[in-house]
Amino acid sequence: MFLSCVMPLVSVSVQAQAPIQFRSAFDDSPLNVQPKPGEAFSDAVKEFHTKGRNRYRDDANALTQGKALYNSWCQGCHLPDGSGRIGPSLIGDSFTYDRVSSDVGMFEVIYGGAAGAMQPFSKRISQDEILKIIAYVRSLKK
Amino acid sequence: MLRLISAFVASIGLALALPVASQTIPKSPDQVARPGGTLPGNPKIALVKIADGFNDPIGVASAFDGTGRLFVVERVGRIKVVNKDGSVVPEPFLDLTKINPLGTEVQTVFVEQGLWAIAFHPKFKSNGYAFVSFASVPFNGANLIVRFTVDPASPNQVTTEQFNKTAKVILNIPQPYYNHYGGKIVFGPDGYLYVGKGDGGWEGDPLDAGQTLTVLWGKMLRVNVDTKEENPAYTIPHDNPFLAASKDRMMSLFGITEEGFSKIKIGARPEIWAYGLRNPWQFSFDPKTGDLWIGDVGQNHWEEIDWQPRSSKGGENYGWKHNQASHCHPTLGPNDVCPIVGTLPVAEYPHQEPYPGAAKLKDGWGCSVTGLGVANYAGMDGVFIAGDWCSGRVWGVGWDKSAKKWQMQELLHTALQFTGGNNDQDGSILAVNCYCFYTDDKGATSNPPGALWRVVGASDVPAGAETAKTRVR
Repeated sequence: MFLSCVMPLVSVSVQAQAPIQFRSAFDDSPLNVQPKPGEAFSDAVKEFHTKGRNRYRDDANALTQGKALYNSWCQGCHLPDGSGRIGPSLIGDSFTYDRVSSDVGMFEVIYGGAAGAMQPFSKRISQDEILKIIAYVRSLKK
Repeated sequence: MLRLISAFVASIGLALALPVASQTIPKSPDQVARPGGTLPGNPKIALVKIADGFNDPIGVASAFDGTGRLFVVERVGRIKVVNKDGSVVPEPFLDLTKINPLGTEVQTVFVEQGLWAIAFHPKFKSNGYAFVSFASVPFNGANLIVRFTVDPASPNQVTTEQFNKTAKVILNIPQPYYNHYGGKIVFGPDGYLYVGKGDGGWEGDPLDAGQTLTVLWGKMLRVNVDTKEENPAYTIPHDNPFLAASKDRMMSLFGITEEGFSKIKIGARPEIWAYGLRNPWQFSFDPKTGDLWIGDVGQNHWEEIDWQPRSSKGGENYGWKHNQASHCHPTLGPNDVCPIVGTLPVAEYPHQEPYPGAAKLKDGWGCSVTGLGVANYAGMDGVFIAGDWCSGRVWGVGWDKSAKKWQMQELLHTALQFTGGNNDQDGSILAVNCYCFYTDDKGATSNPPGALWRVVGASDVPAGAETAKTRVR
């Protein structure tokens, strides 16, 4: 009786710790999200890797930083309000890649790149910065 | 009798040997090819990487001198040599950032400014002449085309001294705005230098440059650089279409038809070969037939690919800014009505929104056509290959003899941001890509490095070669 109480608890906790498999929006190949040399993962990134949840979504501080990052890296193609010109709109109901409706999907596009001018920003900024950008983009819709 | 028969057979043979140009230029928009077609033979291609590590490469050219070297143009103002074995010579072939002690010669402040192209003289092996086209700092962003001489004792490096000693300015074309320069220069099969000129910029051609024959913007130019004298630096080919049109003549009010009067174009620049172009950033001659293909970058909704046969006498009006590809400019909605001005393109493809408010396309779109070259291999016959700078798609456009129409096929969807291309001496097509921005660019040496690729048949990829990744449906 003791064992049958313990076993289900053990199996549930193993499932909760499995990290998310990030995949390229371009060809679904697995994305390597290991830290770059010298990059230490923030708690937000660690939580995102395991739960897919972006804790910066409601974080005013992070949104301010996200805005500055967006204006530096994204607005040239997606415009300051996210409505898009060279790059597609980020605030509409449909996206070029369906997965972008989730933060994991938007991360896959930004981090791993998509096609053409949507280059992989893993070469340029940290994963923590990408999460802040995503949080800011989501706030544009309101 | 035998002589008659052999003469008859010979004349048949002569007739068969002459290429029959069956291509026709579209007379109405429905004859213009769009994505979704299939080229004869349904060719399959791949992009094989030759070399990488370049700073914002935006052009590439062969010297056609048998060495197999390729010259990759970096926007900042440098040219790198890639050997036949794919190794990159560390020292630049040419460094225009260093030839002037007061600072770089090349304006790069905006992403469309920089060193755009190199073209080697058809007789480069004997005369050592090479030509570069770039935006000039001292001339406030003007487009300079400069000839210099490569010292045969230093084939892989043109020193500052050598450049300054031998530099000859062929053209100095002022530029009103910082975009739409054109940039590529190519020697045509006729030995003349062809220069693609954008409409001088901003957007929508507010200067109406495309249609204005008194300016060089918005044009394809054709000049002769093999002058007998040192000056002038170039002369007008005797058969340029507007040379006769612009000549001074005795006045006559009568005795000339309306058609005759329409051929008088006082003030037309005789350098003009074709007009009505927005930004013919990359263009190519078919190495086999000499036909000319132009990838003309479009405004907000359509990209345009123009074609003219080798036999063209020039003077074509490609319609900008009244038309954008086969559509109205400005495009207002799905049912625009407007006249078609001049010559239609043979192919076009839409942006993600084909007209304001249109449902966004999921496939088959792009935003900036980068012509690469013309393929007569890998199962293709006279197929123009073009990449798209924003979507990474690679298109093939060619004439379908049996269907008697132009076909446009999406050959690949790559992740690459195509910036330029050219035909190699062996006829294969080369392409370069960057990881760069359009506005808010970080600088011509601040981006992750770009690469040089070769278009090959999909079944001809060498074992172990790195190929551009593609999306497969």
